[in-house]
Amino acid sequence: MLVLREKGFAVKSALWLASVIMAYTLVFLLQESHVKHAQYELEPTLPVQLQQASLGYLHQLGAEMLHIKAAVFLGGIRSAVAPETYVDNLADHFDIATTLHPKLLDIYYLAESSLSWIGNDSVRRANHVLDKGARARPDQWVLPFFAGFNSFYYLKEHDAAAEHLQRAAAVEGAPRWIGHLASVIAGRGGDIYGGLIWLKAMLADEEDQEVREFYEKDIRMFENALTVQQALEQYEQRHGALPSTLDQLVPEFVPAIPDVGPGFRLAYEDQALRMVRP
Amino acid sequence: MLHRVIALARIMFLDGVRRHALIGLVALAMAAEAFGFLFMDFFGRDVGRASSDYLFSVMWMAGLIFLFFHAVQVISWDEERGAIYALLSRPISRGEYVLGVFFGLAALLTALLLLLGPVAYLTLLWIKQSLNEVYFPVLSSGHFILAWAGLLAMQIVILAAIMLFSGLVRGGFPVLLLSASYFGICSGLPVVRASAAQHDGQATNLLLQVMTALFPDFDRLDFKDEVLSEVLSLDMTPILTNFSVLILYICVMVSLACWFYGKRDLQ
Repeated sequence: MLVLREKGFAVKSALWLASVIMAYTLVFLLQESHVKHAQYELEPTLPVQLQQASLGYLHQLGAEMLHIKAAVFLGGIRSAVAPETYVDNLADHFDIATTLHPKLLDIYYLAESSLSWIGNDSVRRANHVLDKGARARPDQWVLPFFAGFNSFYYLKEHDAAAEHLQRAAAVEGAPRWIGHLASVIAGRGGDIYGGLIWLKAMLADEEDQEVREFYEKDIRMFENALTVQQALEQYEQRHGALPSTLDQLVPEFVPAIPDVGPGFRLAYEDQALRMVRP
Repeated sequence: MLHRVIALARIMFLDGVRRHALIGLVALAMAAEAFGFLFMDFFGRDVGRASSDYLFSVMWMAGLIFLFFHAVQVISWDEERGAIYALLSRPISRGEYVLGVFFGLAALLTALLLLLGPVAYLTLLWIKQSLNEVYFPVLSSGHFILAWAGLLAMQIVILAAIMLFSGLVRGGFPVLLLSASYFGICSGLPVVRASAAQHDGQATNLLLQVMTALFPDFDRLDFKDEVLSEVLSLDMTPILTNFSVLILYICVMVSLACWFYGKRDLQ
């Protein structure tokens, strides 16, 4: 009798449990049917000082979490979303993450790939982040190289680009062509002296005869351009202002405007002498 | 005196080892360390650095859980259970009791980190071997040990502060609140100091310097960024100075804890 009563109790308990689980499952499914999966948004981050103070020993992990958050956001973004709607938050994420953990390379790669193409302001913010990276990781030539590329390609600031590239070229293990590129861009930006000095420094360090000849050829071109630069300076000293065209230098200051080809041509733009690729 | 302190420390150690919560903490922390293999997948370049940061963070969190959920309550548990009266009825002073508890808990903390440290190192080694050298160029065992020792030293400082607060106030919860506040000030003070150094006057900076003597700057013993450095090329003088300062600080805190506990009314 007692056994039968216990069995009845066990069956009732099992039925009760099954009905509660079933009811929960049905209500849960009803709740899920109302959930709309919205676009994942990148929320603003807390100020960096607050994060530093609260994270303490975990500040590197905090930076890595910000990196993951930004990467997940960028991975799920829909093409219809205008970049202007999220660029500030994204740049803040990178800025704060690189302050918390300036040595982590991944953040710089993600910042370069996601910020540089949006607009001039975002390129400048990308370069600000990359500058921090170049200071924290002086062994990485790619960080100043990215900044140099941004300055040259997006901002059209050749002097700044040459400066970044010279820093990249000075890093041990950097490809040799970066130094040459820095000289060419310095010439393009109007810094003939800077480009020539950099080329001569590279020649002094170079042992490969073929590469040395290549540099010597470029040095001759820069030296030819330098005669025109010096003539411009003499003209300015005498007349108190720069000429409006290079032809005004001939024949008083230079016998003729030299040919700096075949790799370059001289251009006189905005009262600055530049070496431009034809 | 020493053998009585060691005997009590041994009791504290064994009592901790028998606690299921601490065994669970070790198991959870080891599982979290194994999760490092998944965490590294979020990173495409600096995989070694991210993995190392993650593993040290797990060790740090495990140590903090031990300190804030076990160590803060040990003395109040003894008082509540009456165990302390059994101990004090024997020829052991209150100062010896505090020292015994401190060394027992320090041994437990060291044992916890001694279990997690090699697991973290082996995990890093495994990650390194599974990757191209570009993504994980160097794993320096010397720097790893230094970073581990720094982490342990910081947590023993927090333990010494917990001992002081346990000597000052009754009950586990007030000790937890005081210890958490102490930890918060220690973490926040270097940020305030860095900001004040740029803007504020000499008096503020002097005040913050005095506060740093009371609430030590843990960043000075954080060497986990160096685990991926080429060789053990750090300047050892400031490192030894920082360790020496913390050891003396621990001595001061534990001495104060013994003194206050000796004066406190236990009834």
